[in-house]
Amino acid sequence: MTSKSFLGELEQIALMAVRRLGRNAYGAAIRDEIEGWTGRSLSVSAVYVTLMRLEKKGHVRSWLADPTPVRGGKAKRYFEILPTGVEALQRARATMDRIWADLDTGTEAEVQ
Amino acid sequence: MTVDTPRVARTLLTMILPSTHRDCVLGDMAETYATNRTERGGFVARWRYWRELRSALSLRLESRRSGRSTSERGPRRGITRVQSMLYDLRYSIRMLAKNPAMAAIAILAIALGIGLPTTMFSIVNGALRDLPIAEGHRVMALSRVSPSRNWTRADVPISDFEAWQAQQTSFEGIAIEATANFNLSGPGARPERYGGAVVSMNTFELLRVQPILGRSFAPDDANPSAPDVVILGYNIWRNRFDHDPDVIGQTVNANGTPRTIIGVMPEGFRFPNDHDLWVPLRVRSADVPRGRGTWYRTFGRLLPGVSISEANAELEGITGRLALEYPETNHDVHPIVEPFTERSVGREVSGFLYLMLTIVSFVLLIACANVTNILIARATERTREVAVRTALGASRTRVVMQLMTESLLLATAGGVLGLAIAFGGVGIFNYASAGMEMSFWIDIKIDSASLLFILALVMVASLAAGVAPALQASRTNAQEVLQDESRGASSFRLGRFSRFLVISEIAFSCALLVASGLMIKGVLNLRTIDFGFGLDQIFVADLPVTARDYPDAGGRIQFLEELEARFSAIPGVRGATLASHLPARNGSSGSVGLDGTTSTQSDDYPMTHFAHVMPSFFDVFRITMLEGRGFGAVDRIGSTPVAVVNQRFAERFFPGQTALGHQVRQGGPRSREPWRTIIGVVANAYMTDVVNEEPNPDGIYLPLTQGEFHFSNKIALRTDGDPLTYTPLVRDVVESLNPNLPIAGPNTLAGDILLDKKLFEVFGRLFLLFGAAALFLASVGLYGVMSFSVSRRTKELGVRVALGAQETDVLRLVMRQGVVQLGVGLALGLALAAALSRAMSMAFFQVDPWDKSIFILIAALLSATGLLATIIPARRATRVDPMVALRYE
Repeated sequence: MTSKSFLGELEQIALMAVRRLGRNAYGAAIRDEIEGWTGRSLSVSAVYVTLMRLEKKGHVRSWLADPTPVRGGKAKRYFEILPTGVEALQRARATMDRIWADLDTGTEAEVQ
Repeated sequence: MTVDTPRVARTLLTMILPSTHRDCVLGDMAETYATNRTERGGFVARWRYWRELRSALSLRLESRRSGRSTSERGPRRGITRVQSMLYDLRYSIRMLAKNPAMAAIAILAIALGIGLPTTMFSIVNGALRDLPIAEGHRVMALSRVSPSRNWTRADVPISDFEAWQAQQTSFEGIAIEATANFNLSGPGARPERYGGAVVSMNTFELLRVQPILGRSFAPDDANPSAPDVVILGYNIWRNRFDHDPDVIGQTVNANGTPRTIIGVMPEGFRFPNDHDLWVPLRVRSADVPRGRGTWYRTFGRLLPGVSISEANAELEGITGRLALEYPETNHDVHPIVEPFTERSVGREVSGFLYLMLTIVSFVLLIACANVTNILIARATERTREVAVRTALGASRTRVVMQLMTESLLLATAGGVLGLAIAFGGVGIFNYASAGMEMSFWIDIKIDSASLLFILALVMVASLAAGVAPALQASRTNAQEVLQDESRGASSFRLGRFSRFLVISEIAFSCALLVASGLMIKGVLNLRTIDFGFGLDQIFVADLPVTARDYPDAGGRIQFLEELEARFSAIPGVRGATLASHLPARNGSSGSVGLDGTTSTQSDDYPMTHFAHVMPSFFDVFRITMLEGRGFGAVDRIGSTPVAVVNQRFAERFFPGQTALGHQVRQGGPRSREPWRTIIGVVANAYMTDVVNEEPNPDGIYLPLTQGEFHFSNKIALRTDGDPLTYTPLVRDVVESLNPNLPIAGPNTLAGDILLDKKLFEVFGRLFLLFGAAALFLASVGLYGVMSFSVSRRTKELGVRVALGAQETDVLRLVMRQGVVQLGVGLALGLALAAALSRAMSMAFFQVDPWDKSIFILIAALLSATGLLATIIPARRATRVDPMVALRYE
C-alpha cells in the first residue's frame, strides 16, 4: 500500500461529500456539505486544495460547466468520484472498523 | 444573483488564485459569501471572504505542486533570463539601499576579506613568480641532497655536473654559475664594486636572453688561453658608461684583471639574483680532483613535455651510477630538480610565504562567516517576503537566484573596495621594503594573477556568504509563514548554524591575532635591542681588498694603518677603524682550540665567533674593556700572538676565573694558526647580525695587524653630523691610496642594521593590520548575531519579564549564549594558534612561539571585545517592555 492510498480525514469527508452530492458536487456545495456534517467552517480554497489533491491521486475528476449569469458569470467546476475513490473510501472505512473492533475487544477485556 | 464581494479582497484573490481554478473558485466564494451574508450577517461574511486569501495562497502552491499551473513557473512568459537577472539586480540594489548600514558593514567585511589576502597573494606571487624570460617556468635549479651528510640543498661539483651534462636527456641543456664580487675600475671612472657571476658559456642561450649590444659568450671564451672578456649588465652600462653605444671592445679592470667588454644585457636582467656582470667560467673536471674544488649552482631548461619528476628520475639514475663508482664522494647523494625561483627563494621562505597566505585567508573566512550571518539575519526578517514571492509563483531557483544576486552584489562591491585595499597594501609593502636587496624577478604588484585571485575570491565570497541564507530562505514553507509569521520564522532553524559561524569567526580571529601578536612582539624586541655599543652616527662601508691588491701581509697592514690615519684626519671624524666584521652586522663562526688542546677529534673544538679588528675598534664602538687591555701598536707580526675575548666567551669557557693569560687558537685539529694569549675581556657587542639565531654570542677578537688575513674589510667611522655626508670624502681617501679600490654599500650602521630587520618589521606591520581586521570582523559578527537573536526573542523575554523575571535574570540568560560561544571559540582558537605559531616560528624575532603573555593578552582582548559585543544587546533585552514585547510582531 503506497502513501497515495491513505486518505486524510478531510480527504475522506470531501470524497464522501462528492459522493453524496452526486451530480451537484461543486466547490461551494461541497464546502456546505462538509460544514453541515462537521460544524467546521472551511474556506472554499481549502476545500479546493483537498479536491485538487484527490484529483491528483486519481480519486475524483473534475470539469468546468458552462458559465451561467448566476454567480457573476463564473462557471462551476463539478467533481465526480471515480471507482478508485470509492475503493479508497471503503478501504479507509474497513481500516477504521478493524481498528475500532480491536479497540472495543480490548476495552471489553479490560472491563471483564 | 449578482454579488458584490469585498473589492480589495477579490482583486487580491484574482491575483493569487491559479488561472486554472480562478473562475470556479471565485464563483464558489461569491456564492458562499452571499449565503453567509444572509445567514450570518455582513461582518462574518466579509471576514470569511478575507480569510479566503490565506487558503488561496495554499491553493496556488498546491496547484504549482500538481503542475497544473505552468504559466508562472520560472522567468515569466515573455521575460528573458537576462531581463530577469536585471530585475534581480535592480531589486537587490533597492533592498541594499533600504538598509545601508547593513550593506556598508557587509561590503567592508568582504573588502577586508578580499583585500588583505590579495595583498599577501601579490607578495607571494611576486616573490615566487617564474623567471621573466621566455618560458621561464621551464628553468629548473638542480641541487643535491644527502640525508646522511645532512645536505638539504647542496650545489654541484664540476665532476658531477659534467656527468649529468653528458648523460641527461630531459633538459635542453644544463649550465653552472658561481657568484662573486667584482671591483670594477677604469676607464676614466671611479672604482666600484658590483655583484657578478662566473657562468657556463651556454648560460644565456639556455635562458634565451640575447645581449642588446655585442655578443653572448661563445664556447671559445671558456678556453684558458682565450682573451679575458666580460658581459655587462644594463645598470653598469647606464651608470658607468652612460649608455655608450661604443662600449663593445673597451676594457675594464675587474678585480685587477683587464677584461674586454663583449656584450651588454637588457635592462632588468640580473641573473641569477641581483647580479650585474658576467665572466666566463674556465674550469674542467680534468683539472679538479674529485671531491675538491668549488661547488656550483646548477640550472637547466626542461624539454617541453618532460615533467620535473621525470627529469629528477633520470638524474637519480645518473647519480646512482656515480655513487657506485665513487662511493667516498657520492654515496647517498641524490639529485633534486625544482623551479629556479623556488630554489632561489628557498624552501623555508617559500613555505613560510604560503603559510602566511593561508593564515591571511582566515580574514576571508571570517568575513564570509560574518556576511553569511548578516544575510541569514536579513533572510529571516524577509521570510514573509519570500513566502509571498513563492506563493505568487516564484520558483525555488528564482528565489535562490534573487538572494544570490544580493550576495554577489555585496561581494562585487567588496571586491572593488578590496582591490583598492590590495593596491594600498602592496604600495605600503613596497614602500616599507624599499632598499632591501631582492632578486631581479621579484616584482610585487597587482597584476593579472592578482585580479584573477580577486575574482575567485569574489565568487567564493558570494557563494560562501549567499548560498546558506538563500537555500534556507527558499526552503520556507510559505503556507506556514503566511499563517503565522513567528512560527514560520522559527522554522528557519538558523540558530545553530549562526552560532557555529560565530564560533569559527572567534577561533580564526584568535589564531590570526596570536600570530600577529607574536610577530609584533618580535618587532618590539628588535627595536629595543641593547647592542652594548654606541650605534649613533657611525658611517659604515665595505672595502673589498683582495689578495691580488696586497699580496703580502706587511704591505696590507701598512695600507690599512695609513687608511685609518687618513680617515681620522677628515674633519668631523671622531674615530675611524677597520674590521673584518662589524658589530650587529655579520659574523663568522668556527672552531676554537683552548689551552693547548692536542685532540684530533673535531668534536673537542667548540664553536665560537671571530672578528679581526684594528686596535681602534673598541674605542670607535665604545665597547667597554672589562679586564686587561685592548690591541695596541706592540701587537704586530712577530710579537707574541694575542686575542681579546668577550664576556660571554670568558664566562662560557673560564667560569669563576679570569680569562686573561689563557691560550686560544682559531680552527680545529688541523689548524695552522698560532696559539694566542688572551690579553683582554670586553663587554658583549653582537658578533653576528641581529636576526641571527644566536644574536649576541660568545666570541674572540683577533688583531688585523698580526696575521695573514686576506679578506675584504669594513670601514667604520664615528662622525659629527650625518654620517652619509662623509661618503665622498671616504671615497677620496681610499682612491688617494689605491685608485683601483672601490668602497661599497655606504650606509649608517643603524640604517644597515635596519635592513636586516626590515622583513620582520614589514611583515609585523602587515600582520598587525590583518589582526586588527580580524578583531574588527569578529566583534562585528558577534554583535550582529547577539543583537539579532535578542530581537528575535523579544516576545519570549517580554513574557519572562511579565512573569516576574528580574533584570539580572534576563541579562544572564542572554549573555549565557554569547559567553558560551566566546568560550568555545577562544578554546579552539588558542589550540589553532598554538599549532600555527609553531609553524611560523621563523617569523618571530626572539619570541617563543608559545609565548604565554601573548596568548593571554589575545585571549583577554578577544574576551573583552566579545563581552562588549554581547553585553550591549543583552542590556537592550533587559529594557524590554512586556506590553510592547507581547504585541511585537
